[in-house]
Parts: sequence; structure tokens; C-alpha cells
Amino acid sequence: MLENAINALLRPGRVLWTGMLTAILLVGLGVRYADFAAHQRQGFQWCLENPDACDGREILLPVWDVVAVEPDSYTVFKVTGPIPIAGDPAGLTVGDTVSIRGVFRKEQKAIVETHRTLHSRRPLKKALSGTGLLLFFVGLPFCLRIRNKRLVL
Amino acid sequence: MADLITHMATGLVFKAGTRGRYTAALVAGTVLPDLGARVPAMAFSALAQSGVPIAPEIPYAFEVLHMPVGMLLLCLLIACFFDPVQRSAVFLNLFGGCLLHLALDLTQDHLGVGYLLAFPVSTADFELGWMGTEATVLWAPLFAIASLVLWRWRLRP
Repeated sequence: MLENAINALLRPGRVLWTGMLTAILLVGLGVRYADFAAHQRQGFQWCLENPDACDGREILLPVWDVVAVEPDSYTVFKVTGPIPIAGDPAGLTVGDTVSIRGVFRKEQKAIVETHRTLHSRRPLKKALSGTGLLLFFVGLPFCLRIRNKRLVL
Repeated sequence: MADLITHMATGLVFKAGTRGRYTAALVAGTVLPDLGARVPAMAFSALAQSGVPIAPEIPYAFEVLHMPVGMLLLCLLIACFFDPVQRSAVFLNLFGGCLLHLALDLTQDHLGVGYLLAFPVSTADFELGWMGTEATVLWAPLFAIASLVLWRWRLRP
């Protein structure tokens, strides 16, 4: 049944409409999620805008990059930021990756760290993923052909 | 996300197990979620850190390509560009690869901040949290070689 439905969507007379509708839905989905992530999710930015409501709330920051280190605090960044973290930065350097469990404090306009995990193997993971990406793009021309203006495996 | 070498290797192991065709499409499917969602996010993040003003909505929009509905739409869109004879097989293998990717990622621990599996229907997130985000990196090269050998051996005539 699933294969029949897919065949019906992808049959030659219908594929142009399917492609256009799919692209529109994909863009719509992206716009909907971007709105949710940027404006509705109650993260650090929301806490800055609503400090009274957010004071004491637990904030989780999994896998963020350290972009600045101060004597008694540090700053992290991932897609958005920077986010100031009040906590002992001993052992941290700029470029490290950390996961942080903390609490928002309105007086400090920062997250007070309660638990931190240092991802020491992150550079190795990035190197492996970079290698995977390279293999993907090197392998692509060997696997794909163009026949009658269509891609063929 | 697990590293891409591990993701690609799981695709090869799956094809070795099923002895199915379209290995390239399935392995490409295991790469697509990170290629579509994480690579742009990392690029925009690097730009933003270097001082270029980037609206957060732009990198966030790409994250839907790491969610089931976004994966399904992306695979359908890519399949449209293929020869009619191969379209449904390419779609099924690409999407299968994406689901394999997601299944592996779900086993990781991100402090309980999981993946949005039912977006846009629900914003509830889920992860199994069985292993750390870098747990695969030490054995990834060995796993990649073993999966390649297994796949070649299983698909020999």
C-alpha cells in the first residue's frame, strides 16, 4: 500500500506537482519550526525577556561551544548566543565543547552552572564527521549518472 | 548526532543484512539529516561568532531536516529528480537511511533534551540517552572497515 502511494505520487505525469508541493511544505515546516524555536521555546533568551517568571528555572544546554573564558565565568555559543555561564571555568579553554545543567538567575542575567560535562572527544568526532562528508561528496559522482535529464543510480 | 562515519557504516551493515540493492541511496540517506540540518547550523554559527549578524530563525529553519516529517519531504523531493523507474526505490532507501540515522541518534544522551519526533503535530521531545554523544568515535574507524568488508562479502555473487 505504501509503495503504491509513493508510486502514485512519483509517477511521471504527477512528479512536477509533487515536487513543487513538497518544496512548499518543506519551506513551511522550516518557517513554522524557526518561529517555534526562536519565539516560543522558553530558553535563555526568553528568560532574559521574562526574568521574574524565569528566576530559578533549570536550563539545559547540551553540546555548546565555549567562546570566552573569564576568571569566574565563561560564555558559550551554539547557533544562537552568546550565553554567560556563572561557574568555575577551571580546565576550560576557548574552543572546548560542554554540556551544562544550570539555573537562570535574574540578578546575574546569567545561568549559574550546577553540572558540567566536558566533551573532550569532540574534535575527534568533528574530524570523523568531516571525513564522512568528504567520502560522501567524493563518492557521489561515482554513484550518480544523468540520463535523459534524470538522475540514475 | 553520532559521527557520520558510524552513520554510514550502519547503512552498510543494514544492506549487508538485507542483501538489498540501492546501497548508495540508503547510505546517502544516513548522511542527509546532518548534511541538511547540522552543516548549515555549524556554518551559520561560525558566521555569527565571527560577528556577521545572522537571524536565529535562519539556522533553526534547517533543523526540520533532522525530524521525521522534514526527512520524508526532503527524500520525496530528491526522488522527484530521479528516473521514473528508480524513484520509489530511491525514496524508500533514502528515507530508510534517514530513519536509521535518527534511530542511532536517539540512543544518545543530551541531558534529556531529545529530538522532536512528531513536529509539527507535537513539540514533545524524546531520546533514549543510552550513550554519550562521543561514545562511537573510538570504534568508528574499525566499525567502518568491518561494515565495508561485511557488505562486500554478503553481496558477492
